[in-house]
Amino acid sequence: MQSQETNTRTAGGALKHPDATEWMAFLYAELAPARRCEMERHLAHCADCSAQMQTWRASSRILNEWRLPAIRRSPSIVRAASRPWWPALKWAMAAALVLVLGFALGRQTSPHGAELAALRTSVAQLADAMQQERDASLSNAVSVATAAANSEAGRLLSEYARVEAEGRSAHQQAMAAGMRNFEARLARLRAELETVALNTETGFEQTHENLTRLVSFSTPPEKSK
Amino acid sequence: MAKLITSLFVASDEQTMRRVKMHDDPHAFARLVARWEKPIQRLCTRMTGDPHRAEDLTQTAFARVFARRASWEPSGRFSTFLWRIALNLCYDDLRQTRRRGECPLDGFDEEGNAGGEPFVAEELSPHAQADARERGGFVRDALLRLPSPYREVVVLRHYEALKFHEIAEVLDIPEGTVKSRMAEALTQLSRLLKHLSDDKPNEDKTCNHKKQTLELRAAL
Repeated sequence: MQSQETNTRTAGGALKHPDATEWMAFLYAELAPARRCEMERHLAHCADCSAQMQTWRASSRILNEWRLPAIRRSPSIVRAASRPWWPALKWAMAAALVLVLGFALGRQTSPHGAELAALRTSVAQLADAMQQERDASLSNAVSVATAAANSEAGRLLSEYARVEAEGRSAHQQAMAAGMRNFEARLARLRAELETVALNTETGFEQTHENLTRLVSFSTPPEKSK
Repeated sequence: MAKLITSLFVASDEQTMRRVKMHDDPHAFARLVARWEKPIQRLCTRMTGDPHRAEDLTQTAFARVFARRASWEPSGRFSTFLWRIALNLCYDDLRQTRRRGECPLDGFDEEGNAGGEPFVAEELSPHAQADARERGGFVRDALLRLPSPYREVVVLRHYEALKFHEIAEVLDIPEGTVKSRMAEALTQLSRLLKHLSDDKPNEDKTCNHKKQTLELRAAL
């Protein structure tokens, strides 16, 4: 059959037999209109292809004779669809039941004293563990805070030393200036004192001289009466 | 036009399935079932030849869709996902039937009818109804005789009106292969159903039918 032949045109322009795949697209109307027209023209002139198409069309027509009755909607699918959580819920309920039974059985079979002792031990272990953890975290925090405080204190001391040195130098400069001023004033005072002393010495000498003169003064004799 | 307007207000299969996947929405899943139950049941009936088994397979198919909702890729079409699941279930069912040593036509009575007889229009005369039922049975038997790769293409293209490229997507094969299989299937069917093409009204069709059924069973 021509089914494997290509569907291109020959050099002379005549259409080659389309292959079976293209005839299927033709039979089920899946071809572009232009191509469909070409193939219809081919069919009108090619007895082989026409006979083949007739066979396929007949088969396709006969297939329509198997008809199915109207399909009823299955209620169980709808139920299943509206309860998709049901299987999960079933398993969850089963798991819960197993857990409850297991717990009850364990309570019944295990002695209470041993259970309590075990509970106490575990509580004590838990408390120890918490204490250790708390101590560890506390010491860690303290060491961190100490380191921070040390560094801060060092920084403050150096700052204080710097400020102190600056203050001291300013003070020394002021003291030197004051001393110079004081010395100048002292010199002036000394000069003035010397002047005063000289003046005083001169005054003493005059006073001494006056006293001497006064002592040596004698009352002149009274002239005859 | 009405279809276009409806499509503006109705969520697509993919949007609905996304709700099922993300939120386990039972109402969304029920909508999908309502839309696709009939096509899937038709597919299973045509593939297995048995409407009762097809009903079970349809339920299983939707249960499997729900169970595998997480594996559905929103980039793909929902229908492709669903057709694949249903076809795989049909193959499993046919394999089990074969493993049990049953012939696919074993469930049919002497008239070639399975539990559900081929449907015929009630307005036909009793004689015409019998004739149509008989011819429908022949077509079903011939389809069951086709190898599965040919049968699935015939069912999807001829009965469910999928385009060839859509079938190629469902079966994950080239479109050319789908068309070749369709051509081969129609060629084999013309051979199997030659007696229906050469319609001879005066022939004793009951005898003819029995003869054909026996031939089919011998062949299977």
